[in-house]
Amino acid sequence: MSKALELPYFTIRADDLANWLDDQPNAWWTVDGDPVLTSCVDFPCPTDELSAELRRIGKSLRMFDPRTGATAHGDAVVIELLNEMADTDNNSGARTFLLSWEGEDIQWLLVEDIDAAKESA
Amino acid sequence: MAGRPLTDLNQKVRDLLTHTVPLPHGVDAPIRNFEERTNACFNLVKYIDDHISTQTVYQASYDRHTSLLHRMVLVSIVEAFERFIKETAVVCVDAIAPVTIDNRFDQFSPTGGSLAAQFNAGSVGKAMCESDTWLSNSAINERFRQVLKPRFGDPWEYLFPNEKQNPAQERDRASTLSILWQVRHSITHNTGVLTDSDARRLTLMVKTKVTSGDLLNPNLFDLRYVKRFLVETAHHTNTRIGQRLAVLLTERHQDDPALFDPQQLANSIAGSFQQPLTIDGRAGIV
Repeated sequence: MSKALELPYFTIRADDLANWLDDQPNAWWTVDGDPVLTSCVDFPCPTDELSAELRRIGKSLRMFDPRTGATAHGDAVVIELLNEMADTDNNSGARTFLLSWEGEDIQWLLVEDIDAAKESA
Repeated sequence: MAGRPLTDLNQKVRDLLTHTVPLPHGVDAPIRNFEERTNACFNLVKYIDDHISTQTVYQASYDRHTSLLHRMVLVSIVEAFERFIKETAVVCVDAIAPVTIDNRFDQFSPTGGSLAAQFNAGSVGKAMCESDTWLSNSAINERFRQVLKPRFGDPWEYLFPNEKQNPAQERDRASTLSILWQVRHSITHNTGVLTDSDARRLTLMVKTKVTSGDLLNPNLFDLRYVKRFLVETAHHTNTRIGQRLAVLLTERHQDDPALFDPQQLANSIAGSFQQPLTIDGRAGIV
């Protein structure tokens, strides 16, 4: 039985996600659960390492929207609203996104690593 | 009194072998497998750190459990590196065994039983490498020096040289790696307690007094730095071994061009090492 969360989702191109990440050059990120990215990148990593790998893969992703009342069903994401879609209900308030690659079943987390960013500053 | 119900524990232990999940499909390359394993280890700690509310825990219990979890993860990261070395050795042996006949594999001593157990694996490398442990610099050095030596020639360079061995520029990395092998030993065999002999060895390695009788208590940043060191070491080692293997196979092909198709083998090892490698002028495609 699939353990995938059935949530409304937007579609986002890997390039667009990479561009959004590049606008935050001092942030660090961790990916939890994606066999593709976790076999290529040493996490946690600074933004540029992750965005380069996303561009290399170049596929579209599903970005799930955890907000109450969300209704998206594959609509193109509005990049400016990404921060509003982030789940920050965790100990450090880190922005967390639930994603999957288009056409794949595996859902995985993109998590901001605030401690790693502070350590490297 | 109800007490504990009678349970067939013999069967319960056997049942765990049926509780499995399929491995996700990815690129089957030692360096990729290693990255995935170490990220999974680290994410375990990160997820718990992010999601257990520290406002609602019993702090002493939480600290004790976190300490144990960190030791377990530290060992898992080091053992993932051992697995990377072993998988890399399998790739080398599988590439070299069909095209050489000399004494390079005499370092391996698989028993008849282990050979029989691996017979269906279809890989001479697995049969020779899987059953051994690769948990010290010296064991790794001696095997790779033999496997990657020129045909009927002297052993190859030391992968992780000590302070009297070469290449000299690899000594610092090797010295740090030897500390991690010892830390793994202390956690695995002594539950993280630094025994007198552990402390003595570590004192000699780090050239600073390490107190015996204490329990290792690694924090999240210790894990980050160990992971990063081992990832960088794995990539560096992957490059060194891949390039040496390509040179060795080039020599074999120039000795005897009928031995194998260089393009096919170049593609195979380029995929295994995830780097462009060339055999006798034929560039492998990653």
